[in-house]
Amino acid sequence: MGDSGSPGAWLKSKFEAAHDGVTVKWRTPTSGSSNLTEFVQRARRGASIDADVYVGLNTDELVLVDQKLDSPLFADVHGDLSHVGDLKKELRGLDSKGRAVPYDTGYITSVADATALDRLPTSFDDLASARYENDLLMENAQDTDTGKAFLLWSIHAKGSGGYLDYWKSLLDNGVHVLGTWSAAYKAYTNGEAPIVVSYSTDQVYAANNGENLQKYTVDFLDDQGYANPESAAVFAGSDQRALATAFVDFMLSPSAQKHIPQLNYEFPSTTTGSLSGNFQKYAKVPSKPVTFTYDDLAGKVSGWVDKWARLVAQH
Amino acid sequence: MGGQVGTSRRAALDGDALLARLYVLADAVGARGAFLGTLALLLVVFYFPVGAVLATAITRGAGLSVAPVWETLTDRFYFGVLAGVLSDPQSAPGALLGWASAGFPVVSTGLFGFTAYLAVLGTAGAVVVGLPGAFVLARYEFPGRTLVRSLTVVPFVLPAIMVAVGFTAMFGTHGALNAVVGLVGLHVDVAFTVPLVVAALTFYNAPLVTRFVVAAAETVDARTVETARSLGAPRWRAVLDVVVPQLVPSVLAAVLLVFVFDFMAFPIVLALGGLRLATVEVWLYHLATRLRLSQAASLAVLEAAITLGLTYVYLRYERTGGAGTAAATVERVPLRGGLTAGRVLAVVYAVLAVVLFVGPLASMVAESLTRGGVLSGANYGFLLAQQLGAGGTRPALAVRNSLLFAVGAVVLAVPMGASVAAVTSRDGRVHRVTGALLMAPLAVSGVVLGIGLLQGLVFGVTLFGVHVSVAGPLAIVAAHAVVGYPFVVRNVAPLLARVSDDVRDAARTLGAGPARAFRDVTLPLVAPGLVAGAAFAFAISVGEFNATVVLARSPGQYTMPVALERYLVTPSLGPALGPAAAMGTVLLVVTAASFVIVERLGGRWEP
Amino acid sequence: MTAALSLEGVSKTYGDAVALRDVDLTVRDGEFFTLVGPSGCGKTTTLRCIAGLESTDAGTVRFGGADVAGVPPESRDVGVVFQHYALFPTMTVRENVAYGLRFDPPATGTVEARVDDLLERVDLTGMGDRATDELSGGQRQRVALARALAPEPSVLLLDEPLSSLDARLRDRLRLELKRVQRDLGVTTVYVTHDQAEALAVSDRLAVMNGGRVEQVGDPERVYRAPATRFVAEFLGENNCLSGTASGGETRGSVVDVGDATFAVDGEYRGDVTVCVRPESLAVGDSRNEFDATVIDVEFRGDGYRVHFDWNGRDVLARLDHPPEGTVTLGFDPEDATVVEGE
Repeated sequence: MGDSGSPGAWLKSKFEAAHDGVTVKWRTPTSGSSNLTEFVQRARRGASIDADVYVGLNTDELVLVDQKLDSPLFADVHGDLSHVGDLKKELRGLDSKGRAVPYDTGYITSVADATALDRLPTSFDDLASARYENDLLMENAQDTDTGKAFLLWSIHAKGSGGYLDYWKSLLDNGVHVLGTWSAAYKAYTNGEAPIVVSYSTDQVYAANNGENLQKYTVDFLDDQGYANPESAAVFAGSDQRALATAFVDFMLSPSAQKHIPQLNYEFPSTTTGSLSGNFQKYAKVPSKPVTFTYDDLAGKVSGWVDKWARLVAQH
Repeated sequence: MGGQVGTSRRAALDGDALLARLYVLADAVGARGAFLGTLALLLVVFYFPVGAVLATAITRGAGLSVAPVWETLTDRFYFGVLAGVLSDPQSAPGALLGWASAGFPVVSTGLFGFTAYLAVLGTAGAVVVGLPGAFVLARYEFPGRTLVRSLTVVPFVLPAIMVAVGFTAMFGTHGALNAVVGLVGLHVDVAFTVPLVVAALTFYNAPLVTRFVVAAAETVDARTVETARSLGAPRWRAVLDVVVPQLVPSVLAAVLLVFVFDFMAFPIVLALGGLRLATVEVWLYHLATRLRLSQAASLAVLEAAITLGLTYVYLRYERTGGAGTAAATVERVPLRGGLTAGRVLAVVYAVLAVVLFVGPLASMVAESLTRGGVLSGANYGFLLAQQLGAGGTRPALAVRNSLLFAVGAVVLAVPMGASVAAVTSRDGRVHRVTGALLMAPLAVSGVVLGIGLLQGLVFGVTLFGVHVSVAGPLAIVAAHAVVGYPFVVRNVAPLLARVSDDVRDAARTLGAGPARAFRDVTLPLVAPGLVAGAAFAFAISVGEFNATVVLARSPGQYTMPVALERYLVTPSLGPALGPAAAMGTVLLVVTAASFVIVERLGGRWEP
Repeated sequence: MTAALSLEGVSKTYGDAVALRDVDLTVRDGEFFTLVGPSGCGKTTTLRCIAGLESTDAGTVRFGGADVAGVPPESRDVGVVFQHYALFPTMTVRENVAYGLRFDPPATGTVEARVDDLLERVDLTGMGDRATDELSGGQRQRVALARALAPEPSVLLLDEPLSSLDARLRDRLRLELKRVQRDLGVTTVYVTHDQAEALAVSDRLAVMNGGRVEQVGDPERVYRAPATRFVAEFLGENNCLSGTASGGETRGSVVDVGDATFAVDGEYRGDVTVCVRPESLAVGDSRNEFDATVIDVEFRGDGYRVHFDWNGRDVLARLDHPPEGTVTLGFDPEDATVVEGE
């Protein structure tokens, strides 16, 4: 949860109002993608974990957790959630072990500056063509959500046997791979390159800040986008299992789903959620979203990312 | 005729009884005691935590094994052709022939090779830009000279993301530089390239070179120059033959440090060059966050072997420089005056320095004053709102923490550095090896330090049934002191070596105990080194991120760099860099002001 | 009467190297005592042991009868003048001289007055506010002396204080040093490698070699009656020959040096060394004679220093007139010194 915590503050006040005598405390995590790894390290070393719920879990992080720990870090709560049936279809099978409960989802795709390009790229192969030489800004799939999502999407499109060749052609075509999404996005807005891998909600920001929407054209390649859900999970060692589960359940409730995803610039994870204002107008959803479930990623994702990273670093 | 042997000549006769008792206490503790205390702190805060992490590089399963390190060494990705030679030595001659007959094509040197290559370029840049700066500051007198000198440490502490923003704004495709040279139809295309990364590394480290050399120049004995001139040498020749050799040790020290920093540079490389220009640290960071600790550790071990090895080599050649007391320093000439080659070059250099240093900083400040493309104070308004708001990161608190921690770090680091310098600045291989090992905080990956502190101090250990865990402000100060004290050592050691034992013995025979002799005789002679080292330790503390982010257990303990990182993405504003740039500007102003003040205070010590 | 300073059986080893071997010395109150010997003989080490700057491995050092083992330098009542002066570079002359008075203020009068008095004694009146690097070598040495003397130490130790100065200055300062020492009556131990200096300035001296004391005595006696070959050859110049002694005709002995036999005073038997000072050799008739060829003549102002060759041996003589070619040199038995067993 972000630092100023406004989604967090909303959840806290509403939940505490509904549950007498309960206080919700948000713990600020250490920075970067090492939030979860601290908990994993604690579990490995037998150090105390005082938290009850983890918010902001990515599916591939779950893979890492299972890889590194023998006993489960999170509990299976799917059966105890009253709103679990409201989850969107494509998000239902996310975690076969019932631990990760998605509360919002975002779509990652390419965002392009229509004022700088005659024609927007329409497919992966298009991106690798000479027309878009040096035009693409990508993020590091090792550490960024957007980068990883885009990489996984390309594996989905090109297959686990062919994606490396595809990326070789992209690298030959001059793709820039930056370290963070903010760096890539900043470079994009500075005009360093006209295409960036980013979120399909970018036009909402632009609209909010009164910018030219043409410069932030959300471009779904092959009408697809990679769906990157964020989940919550209850710690197996929590001494407040019932309350924690209720909290997660609350996040799936219609009232929460009408509020929280938008505050996170994401989409609701349930069919009971809705959007409003600029979000409703400008946030884009691909007609054919793509995603990998826990089972798809288990045992494979780190190998995929590693090979990709080595290719990029050496090229 | 005089008194009897005994206690009649004790320091108790000298005024304040409390002071006398302090001296007695200091004598009891002694230089050795201070050294042992330093060692104890280092063991707890650095060697054990880091050692525990690095140990995973030499274990596999339940036993010792070189497998992890060996696997890394023989991985072509890391070591290129060297890996091939190591894994299959017999094929080496054949491969060599094959290479020769193919016409010596470019070989892959792997990640380590590329990192070294970047580091060499960065070091060259720092020297090329830093030495002329030292020349200008040492030779010429001009208004604002002391101010400029104080500010040379500032680039060192700036967070990488801010430097990246500034550099992109200056040198990017639509940056300020291109706007200017575009007027004459030129275009500079350096985005995401090695030259831009090297420029950023130079930005960080050229002032370091300048500072080291200027400090050394101020201890050169002017009489040596006069002697040379009286023997018939023209001034420039006298300087070349006499002054420059006295500066060589400082230049070498600076070169070594800059190379080590460049080798381990991480956020700036990733921000400006991206993954395609990845270095060892970039890889290490990723492995660490994925908890592939054994691999990360073996990378760190090899990295440390290189950096510590270089440190050892440097120590072997560290000389004590000139023999002068600063009472007779080489005089400076005014910058305004007749046209000489030196003055013209100084002005040209000043212009280039403004472009390289002031440009990116101005861009960051400009970024902080922009919102939605127009001039606006909204970002500072955001900081204010954060300060007054309920939860989250408070900017003023972060500023206060940064300053408090920095002062604490200096208070610890100075005696630590002095005691280590006293014990290790003697000749002999044992002292050199110890000296190099004690420089380890400089040379070990910051990522590994962070993990080590997390798993060691923060998770805690169970001793005799009691769970002990250390975090929070005290741990942060200790960690900062540990990371900064090597600078004190390297600044004090050469000066300390110049203090002859005789002078100390003379004070002893006249009635001074060891602590008193140190204070009366040695301290004034090493004071410039202590001050210079303290300034560095302060700067390092202010800019420190890796250890702080691990040890700060609540927003109330955040420092400026940590706060800045938190502001990089704000949900309400999205990816705007405005708030972070505003925090960065605050960091810049606070740091600059601190240095100016510290140097004014420290100037009392300078003869 | 208790000696002002005494060393009993003092030994010191540095790792494998033995620096001092069983050193016994007694220095009387107010005396000017010199330790003289070649480099590495242990004289500086001895001095440092007295000052407390080094610890002893064996033996006792006593100040006025009291054992000072374990007493640190700051508590021993010594003043030290170092070879390269060791002035405090960041202090003025006055501050240097006054330094010891911080720990041992004058019983009567002010620090100022004491400093002025000392500066006057060493002929540096009015130089109090100078910085030390503005001074010449001779001036620095005098500051070092004044500084050491300011707290009125029981013992003054000087470690080759004049060796960095040129010859003229050295002679002058030596006299001044002696004068100050006599005026103040302070017990002084002086270390030098210059045997001429030691002979000139000391009340008594000890000749050291290889960590051992070879001989102690007043200069004249030690010069005329060296106890060992080393002392004989170290102090002044000497012609020494090894030989075998046996009974003489009437009294005294006869020493056979191979190609000649010399008569000497005293009863000696067995392996001996015969030493004859150059000034005791003369051309012409003497009891002991031998023929030697002139190799080189040096005019010395007050005489000639002549090198001879005698059957391959190098012989040195001091003569009033320069000879040429081959002459007969000789000496009287009472002018020869015999050292047994070498």
